[in-house]
Amino acid sequence: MTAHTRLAKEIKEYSRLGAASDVLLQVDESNILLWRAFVKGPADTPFEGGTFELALNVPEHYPLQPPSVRFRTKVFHPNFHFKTGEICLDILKHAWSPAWTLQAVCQAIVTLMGDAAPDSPLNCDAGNLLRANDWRGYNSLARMYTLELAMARK
Amino acid sequence: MEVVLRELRSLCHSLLTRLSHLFRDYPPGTLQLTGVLGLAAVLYGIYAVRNGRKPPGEAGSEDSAATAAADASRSGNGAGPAGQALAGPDPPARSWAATQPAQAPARATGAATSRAVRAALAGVKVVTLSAPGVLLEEWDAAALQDAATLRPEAAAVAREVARAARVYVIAHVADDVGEATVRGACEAGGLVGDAHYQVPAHRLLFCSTLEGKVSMVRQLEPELHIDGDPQTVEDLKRFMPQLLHIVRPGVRAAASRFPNVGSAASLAAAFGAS
Repeated sequence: MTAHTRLAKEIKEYSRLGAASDVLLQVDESNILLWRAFVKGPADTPFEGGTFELALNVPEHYPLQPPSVRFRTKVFHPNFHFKTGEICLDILKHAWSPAWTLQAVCQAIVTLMGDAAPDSPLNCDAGNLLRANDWRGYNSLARMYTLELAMARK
Repeated sequence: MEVVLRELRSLCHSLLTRLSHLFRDYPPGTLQLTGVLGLAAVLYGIYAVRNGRKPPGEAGSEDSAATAAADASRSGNGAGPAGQALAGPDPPARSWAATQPAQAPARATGAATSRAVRAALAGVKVVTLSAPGVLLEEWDAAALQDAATLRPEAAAVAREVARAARVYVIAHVADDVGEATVRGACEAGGLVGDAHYQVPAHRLLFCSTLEGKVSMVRQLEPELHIDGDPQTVEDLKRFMPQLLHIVRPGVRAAASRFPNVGSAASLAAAFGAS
């Protein structure tokens, strides 16, 4: 199955089920391999109320290879690179399975937003805050960035 | 007789002060200097020329405060421009900001403070301030459990800094009580608010460990960080372009050999506004 066939199937399935409330996927009109996603920050986290944009690049060998996914909105989180938007998530690397869809990938990223793994951080300062058990500092800074970068301020 | 002379002298002094304020506060060309006012203006001019000095109440003029900041800038220790400004000895300047109401805008806090702060910042765009000891009279998280007292002169300088740069205020607190206490003091003192000269509420940040504060400052990547904790200054000295240590009485200045680290007795003194 080529990437195009698989993606066409995913689009059909996505349209049939309707968009999940916390993930909105958009395909580039001129290139089916380029996608954008808008995910909502999970409740009871400093990202709540924010909308975060992701850029998804699908390889030709998809679904045998995982898509490349980056945040386009800056997020303060141990497993996301603040400047490049790179995401450290096993299913995007060695734990990838063709069973994953683009929507499921986005939902896994939303889950990761609320469940940080600070031991192998892409953002050392976010990781250090959590390793020092300074949740107050982590939440305070993450919330500040959410308000500044992911929410339309009044 | 002596009492009468003293009273007369006091009256003249008061009149001169009022006149000097009158001439200073009106924009040039808007004051009609005719009649009694004209005569007073002539007498005032003669007095000023004969004495060759500023009239009472003008001892530390705007220019002297700005010059003090410029002097501080020149006497720096070889860091970048703002590092030079902030790493030098405390410049002599009058306590301009301390006399102003807490929530007044720059026109009321004084153009001198504004100029002195801008000269000291020298193009710095992002500043982080640790609240304990720098903005607050309390120096650590334990003391903030009981009360938080905003230093009015430090708040006035911080508001001027907020006009020229993006300011983040970080407070190390023990728990929610400490956080609420600090937030309340910063809001009541006019440091935090929605006005363009205040620090937005969401940029008032909190942490519960000193290590956490270091990580937060590193993440924010300021061009200048100001802190009252010597250990934090030590921890950040390798990462920050400019650091200013507000030294607690009885404590040694931190990392004084490092060219990017300066020290001062207070925030107002560091910016030539005290």
